Amino acid sequence: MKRSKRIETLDARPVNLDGYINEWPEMGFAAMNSPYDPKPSVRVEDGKIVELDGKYREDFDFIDQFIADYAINIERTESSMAVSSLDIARMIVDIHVSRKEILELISGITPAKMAEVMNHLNVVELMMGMQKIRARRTPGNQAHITNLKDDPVQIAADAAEGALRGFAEEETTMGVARYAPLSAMALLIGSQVGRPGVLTQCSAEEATELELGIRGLTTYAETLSVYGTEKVFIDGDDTPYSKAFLNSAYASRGLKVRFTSGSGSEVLMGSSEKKSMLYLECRCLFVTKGAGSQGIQNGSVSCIGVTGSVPAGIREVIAENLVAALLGLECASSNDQSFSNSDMRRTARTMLEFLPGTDFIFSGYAAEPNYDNMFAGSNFDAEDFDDYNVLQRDMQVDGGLKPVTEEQVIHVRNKAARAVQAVFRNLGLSPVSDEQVEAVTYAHGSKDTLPRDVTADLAAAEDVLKRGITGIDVVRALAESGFEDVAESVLNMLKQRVAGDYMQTAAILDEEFHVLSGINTPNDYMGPGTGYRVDGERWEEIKNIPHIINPKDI
Amino acid sequence: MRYPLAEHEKQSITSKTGKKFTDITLDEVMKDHVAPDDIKISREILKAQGQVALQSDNRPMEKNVEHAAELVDVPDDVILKMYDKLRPNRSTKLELVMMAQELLEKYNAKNCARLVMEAAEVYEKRGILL
Amino acid sequence: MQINEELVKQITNAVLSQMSHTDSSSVSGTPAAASSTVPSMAGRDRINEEKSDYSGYPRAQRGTDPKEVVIGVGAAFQREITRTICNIPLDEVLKNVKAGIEEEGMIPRVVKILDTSDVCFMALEAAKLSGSGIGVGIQSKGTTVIHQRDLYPLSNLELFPQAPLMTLETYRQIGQNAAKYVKGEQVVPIPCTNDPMCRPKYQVKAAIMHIAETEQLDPEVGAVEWEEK
Repeated sequence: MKRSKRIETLDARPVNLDGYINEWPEMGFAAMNSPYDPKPSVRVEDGKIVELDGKYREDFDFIDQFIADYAINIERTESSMAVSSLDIARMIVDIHVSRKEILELISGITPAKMAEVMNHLNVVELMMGMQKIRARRTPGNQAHITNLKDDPVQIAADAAEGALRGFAEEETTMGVARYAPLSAMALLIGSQVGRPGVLTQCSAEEATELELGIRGLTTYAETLSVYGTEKVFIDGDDTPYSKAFLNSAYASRGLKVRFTSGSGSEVLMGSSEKKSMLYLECRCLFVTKGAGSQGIQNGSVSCIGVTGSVPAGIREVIAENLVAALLGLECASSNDQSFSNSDMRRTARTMLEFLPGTDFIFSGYAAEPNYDNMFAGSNFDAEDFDDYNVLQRDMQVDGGLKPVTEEQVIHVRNKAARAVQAVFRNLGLSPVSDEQVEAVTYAHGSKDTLPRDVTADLAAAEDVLKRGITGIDVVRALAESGFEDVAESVLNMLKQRVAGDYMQTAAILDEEFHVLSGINTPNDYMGPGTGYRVDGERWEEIKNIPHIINPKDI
Repeated sequence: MRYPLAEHEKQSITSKTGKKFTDITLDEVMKDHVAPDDIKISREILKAQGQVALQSDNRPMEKNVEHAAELVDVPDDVILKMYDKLRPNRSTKLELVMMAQELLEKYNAKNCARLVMEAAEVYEKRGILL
Repeated sequence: MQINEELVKQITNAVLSQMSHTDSSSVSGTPAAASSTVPSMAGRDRINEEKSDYSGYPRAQRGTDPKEVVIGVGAAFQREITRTICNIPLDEVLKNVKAGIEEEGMIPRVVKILDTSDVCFMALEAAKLSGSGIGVGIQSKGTTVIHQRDLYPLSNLELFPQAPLMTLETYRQIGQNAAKYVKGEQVVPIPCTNDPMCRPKYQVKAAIMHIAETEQLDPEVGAVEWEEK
């Protein structure tokens, strides 16, 4: 066949490098609904749920049972289930029905009912729902802070710059898992250099993550993963009961915790039980709620390549974010994984959370170039900072970031790198040279930095664990090396766990360590003239981008 | 107690060891007066946060905080071990039952013990015990 | 361990009686093909209609040689799937991992894991079968983990999650590093590679390959000795 030049041009477009697949419900390739999804039902006997979404108690798997016993409000369930799904969907977008009323109603419905409600809403309605149901009044943002070399000095510098740019939370992970203690420590220090009050976490194997948290090397935890089918839950090496216990374990040390889920994981792990991605994700979110978690990171997350490949996949993503919010959970709404070769497609996908605002629009945004992103690439990276700031300015939307100056960036990067150098020296860990500090200060990514002695670093990481080094030791080391202000901030971060305020829904801290959560700063949106609006100082900050034409220069 | 506690109840917050919230300062750290256990939360404060959750109609969170309050005195390594034993295919039924007993008798953690007993039953039914 | 039913009952009662006075009983609580040309798979329950039968294969035994490194390959390895996600022949993959192990003076043994398709659990099972306690898990799509028998399942010594970036040279180095862990040397982990655009391009293919692997599982058989050429 003689080829059309038009079609050849289109075939070569980035969007056609992405993977797409037809719906195949038997294998779980179905976004919003599957012919095999159960019909909603509930039956209560003697104060116990004995039937849930068409299954009897004796046939419950461990997810059903946990949801029936812990996630559904038994006093409300029969009345809530009597309201039609269409009516609930309409209440969600009705500005005259308050968030509180809706949450009360929702607390009595089942996962299948929740999926049915979502199927009545189109993407604009889902966004309207999110604008109203999000827990915290102001939206927030979270960063990924990682690099290909697991270089702790770069982690500190990128954390400082990220904090300066406005991220309220920062998350790290490693290429080599054993680096975790050094990564966590560097992130903790760097974040406080950039902006006091930024929360930090280190994504690692569950038991390691808990240990780092207990020691005060991290200030919150996020990767408590839950799954929508029993088989995949077991592959994830957990059950709802172990996760609930783990959640209580974190809380017993006063730490903020967020669970993680996301559609597509069951498909990717080969055990979707023929159910739709949305229904399975509803099960995950009910488990999260039942375990008493304050919040969730969801929105397909690392399986976005699967959810994004099927029809209505991206509609499903905002739907699952909204389900989280409807259950009263803090929602860190993903956007955290490279998803498309097309700039148009990846930006459009993010608008669904950016425009209504979520508790954390990204979870997180790569605050380094994507080649350094050890979560295998985020949807936006450090090279998109200015685009993002312009989007905020164009639409007068608060996406959680702000423009910064080159001087500020260099200053905080250098200070963070020196602080880590000093702490490592003080604690007798692997050395950081002045040349490394210099390189990291001016670097864009790990291609611009010097190599680390990996063997020495790994030995030091092991040493941190063996010697039982804690957050208090970091505070002391900072103060002893002349970084009193950073020491003070790290100590203030540790004190949060004594008061426990930041364990409540959707909590972040301002630079004076005041908590801002769904409890003391709840979302009060009820239509035009209400809720959070971008104005005043914050609007001035957003407007002030670099590269503005000075009429005098013309 | 009024939320946020750190703002409204600063004077009455104490940590697990009884250290006053307001005494956790850089000066005290430098004098070696702050041990790692001093920056752990107390049962009382957890219960207060549970009440905050309840007031905002979040019963599951209140339950979680109640469980957490029971675990305050369980040492770190014991907690880590218990969590590991609760993972799938890690324990026999007897081991889980013994764990519940330990929680109940040694730590008076009755809600946690109940969760473990429930898990033992569910795990048996679903075939994920050793 | 024998379950003592009496004890179970006793503790249950103790828990319940402790609970009773506080219990509120409120447990609330390949591009460019137009999709119209792709036939719908809806209605089909499997990718491969046939399931391989391994019941006649020798069951994998726990090794005793302290120099041994066990390689645990996926259920569909060299059968239903013959190439990794980026088209490297699995025969070559295996050859290179084994060569890497041998170059460091250790002895490879290959088993096929039929009770799990999760790469971490596969690698851990290989490690537990290995005389040295070090094992390598390789899924048919190419994802690989080096594991040690006393670690948590989802922990590991080295993980290579981005199968599309793997080369035969990497597989050889994996063999070498696995052997070095056996020797107790200070091992420098193989430098990570990262391509943020892997996911959009390969994740669906990865899902399909994983499903094809998972449907070949046969937990009754467990793990078998495997030496396919």
